[in-house]
Amino acid sequence: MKVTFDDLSLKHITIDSIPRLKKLREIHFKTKPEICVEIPRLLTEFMKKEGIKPEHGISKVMSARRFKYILENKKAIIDDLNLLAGSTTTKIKGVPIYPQFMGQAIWPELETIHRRKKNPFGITKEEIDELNLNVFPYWMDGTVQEVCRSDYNNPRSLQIMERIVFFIASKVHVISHTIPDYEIVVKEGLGFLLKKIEKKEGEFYEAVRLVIEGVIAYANNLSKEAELRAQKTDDKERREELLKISKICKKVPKESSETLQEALQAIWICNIALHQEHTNIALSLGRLDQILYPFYKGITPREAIEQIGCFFLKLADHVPMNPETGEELFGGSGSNQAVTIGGITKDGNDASNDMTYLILKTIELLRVRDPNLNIRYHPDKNSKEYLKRLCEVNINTRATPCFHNDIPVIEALRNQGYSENDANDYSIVGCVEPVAGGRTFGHSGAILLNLAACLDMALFCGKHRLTEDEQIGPETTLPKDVKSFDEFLDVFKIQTRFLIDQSVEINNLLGKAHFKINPLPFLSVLTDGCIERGRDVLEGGARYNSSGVAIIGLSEVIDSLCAIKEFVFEKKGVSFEGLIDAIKKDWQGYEVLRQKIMNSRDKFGTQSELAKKITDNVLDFLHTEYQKRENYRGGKYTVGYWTMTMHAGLGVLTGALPSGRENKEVLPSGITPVSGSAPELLDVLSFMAKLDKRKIANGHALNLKFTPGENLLDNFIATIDAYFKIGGMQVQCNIIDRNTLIDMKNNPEKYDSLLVRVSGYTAYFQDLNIFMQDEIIKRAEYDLRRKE
Amino acid sequence: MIDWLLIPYYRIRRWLIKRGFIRALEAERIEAKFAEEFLEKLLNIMSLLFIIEPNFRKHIKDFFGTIEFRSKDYEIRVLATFKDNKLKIRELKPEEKLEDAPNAVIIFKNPIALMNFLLPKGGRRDILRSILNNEVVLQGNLNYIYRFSFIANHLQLALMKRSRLTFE
Repeated sequence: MKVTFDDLSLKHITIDSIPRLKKLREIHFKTKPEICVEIPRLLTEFMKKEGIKPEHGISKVMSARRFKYILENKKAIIDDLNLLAGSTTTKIKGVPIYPQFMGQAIWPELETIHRRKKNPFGITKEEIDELNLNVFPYWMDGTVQEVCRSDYNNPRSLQIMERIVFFIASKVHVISHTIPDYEIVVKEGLGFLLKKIEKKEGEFYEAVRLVIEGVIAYANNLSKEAELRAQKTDDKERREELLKISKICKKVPKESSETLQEALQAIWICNIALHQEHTNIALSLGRLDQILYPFYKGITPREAIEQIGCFFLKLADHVPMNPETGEELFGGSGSNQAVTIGGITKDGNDASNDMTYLILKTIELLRVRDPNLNIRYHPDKNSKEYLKRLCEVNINTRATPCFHNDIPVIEALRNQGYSENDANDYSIVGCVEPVAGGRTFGHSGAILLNLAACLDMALFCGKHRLTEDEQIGPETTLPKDVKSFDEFLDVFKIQTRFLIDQSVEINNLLGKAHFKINPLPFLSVLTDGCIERGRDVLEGGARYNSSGVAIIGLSEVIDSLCAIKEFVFEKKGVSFEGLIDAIKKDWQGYEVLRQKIMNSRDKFGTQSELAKKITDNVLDFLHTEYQKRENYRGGKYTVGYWTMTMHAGLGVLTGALPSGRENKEVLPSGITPVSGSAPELLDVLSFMAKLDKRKIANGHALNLKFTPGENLLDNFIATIDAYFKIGGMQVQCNIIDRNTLIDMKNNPEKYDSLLVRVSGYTAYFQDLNIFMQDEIIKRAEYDLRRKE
Repeated sequence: MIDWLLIPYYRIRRWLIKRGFIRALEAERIEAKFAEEFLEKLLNIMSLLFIIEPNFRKHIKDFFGTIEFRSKDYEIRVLATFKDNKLKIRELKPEEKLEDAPNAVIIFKNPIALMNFLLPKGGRRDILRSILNNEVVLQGNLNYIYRFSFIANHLQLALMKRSRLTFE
């Protein structure tokens, strides 16, 4: 029997009953992030020693030697309290810098970053000198972005991306957004993989040997350090712990794991190693309850939670680097490492087990933003008790987990060519993106396309109001000369197609530049398919290859298109010229028109047939266009609707829109309706459930906010169950009322770090920029406590 | 190495430039017409400090590159060349064509945009904000601009201390 607990909520276990976790949690919250220069120092040291200029590229073997050098020389850190050894950086909460990606973006503010308003980072004078004098100058021509620029003659697509408002191809900063195969690490160990390639020859396999040796060397260093620490401590209990840690690190990840602590340590060492290879944004963990369940034996639930808690707090030992404006407009996110639990097994049976509930309990106790918990729920296979427990955790934490419905997600993956077993075994990457963990290299956050910018260009003949008189897209028909709504929709599609082409081109060129200067041999070791094919993940080695697109501003654009159809072409209440004039003037002098538009019933997320028809049309268009294009690894582009905090930042750059939206207002998050435009919860859920999920293979983020209260649980359970039964794909809920959020914004000192759901991931409300805080406050709040 | 006999001259020149610079920092409103003058002033003081301050010079060790500053209408064009641990400034004519393209170009929308970029409040030079506000357009290798911005920030922070120039 896989679930043995009588009390699924494990009420007897509290944070006070696990003093180690309580203390580690306190340390986590009170520690301010500091910049760590270990990775850039070792990286640059190696390159200089070998006489390699980064812009000239690096072979797979040399890249593996570099990785090994970093891991052999990386400081072996054992915390005073944690049961796991090793850390991403040399700091308690570090900000790793990657000079081969976008590390240089903080060069201008190195001397002021410690006192910036939003999310300051500590840095010493020596570290400033190290970066300013030794590291950054060496990489000036050797970042992914600059290598792409020089190798491909400063392509127009790169220049358009650098205007930020149109789209972002995240490879300049990061790939991540994938799930390594941790199952093989704990079940077989890296030594097994070494043995597997014993007789294989060639550059790729040589690189694989080197990187595995590097990881084992780091584990051995940790083992030695733990032993040293054990010798030095007077605390008998801690000495025993340290000796155990030492023994474990000598064994894993080289060998297979036998205990939960070994499995967690093995995964953690590999995770650290991956962070030395490339930036971590949304490097996710996969189905941890399935991976770890075989190792839950011989210990109590309390001990298991203690170990899992130690691991989760380790995952939160670093935060991403962001320049100041980046923090102000787009910041607040952690590393967004998703953990997936529940759902069905590969062969289609209920997958929930004791580990599922242990992970839920740990999340409930810790309430940290990383990892980002995603649960799978199959309405026909999972129990109601399981759903009840999920809802309880959401109410107690106010913001987590994120709910995914197995039925449409699996259908969407099958439609992308996944086998039945692999689709059944999906996990979530980053925010909400489903992939077959360890088997897909999907870079699910490869492109973020601002759909509102496409609309702007359609309204202004290929120009954008932010970039003024610069002709960005094709010079399409003036709106005043457009004869019908369908004709305008074609214009919108011409501009969108143009930005799709540009975004795909730059993503593919950046992918090639990335491979030239930073192949990923260790990620390739941990991605199924690469070893069999003898190819790096960046060369298409993975079993499944894809690139993910996230569309920003969908509901605002649909509402705008509805308004154009209704008011310009049907009711003829205003000419197209008049509507353009109104948005140019930010509705000044057009308040009556704005009110009429705002009060229209044709809105995304309502019962409107028009809105539904236009949404289906746009979804189909985006899916079809992106799927037509191939990525640099020979895979497909999949489309999703999630926005992280980009909807806040891009909203500030977007002018008034025909939907009635005012200048600089935040765009709606994910696939959520515009705040206030869809007042009925049932309509929203029904609208979402009817969308064709096969065209949303990169996931969507529907954000809902519910008023907390005594009798919420039963209705909450019923709502999620009903939504999933009618075909809803995903939903995530903040259980918090508007007044609390407003008070929190005005008096942050009164509150402990409060978790909120942003658009796919959780964040601390205080860390979010003011636009994002306002967006969450403004989100429609539904009251499930009402009696019908 | 500079001739030691020139040191008093450089000191006086530095003092004059510093005084003008600090006045600019203190000015509540900056006239648009002042922007071009200020750009040259900033680059000149930088250039001078690279000669006389070893601690400042270290920031351009092995820095070889050119950055062009220009207005959208080409009316203001200044080329900054970093070479051999020195910075050379050259005013360019609107129609002048360069033999080698600069490593980076900073195109500012208007003089106020240039001032916001060169002289941000509190020494916080924020390139991303300038781009987002469409005040400047950057072309070419962004890392050259990041490096220049660090040096400009460093200079501004040092001058804002008001005491003697210390470039530690």
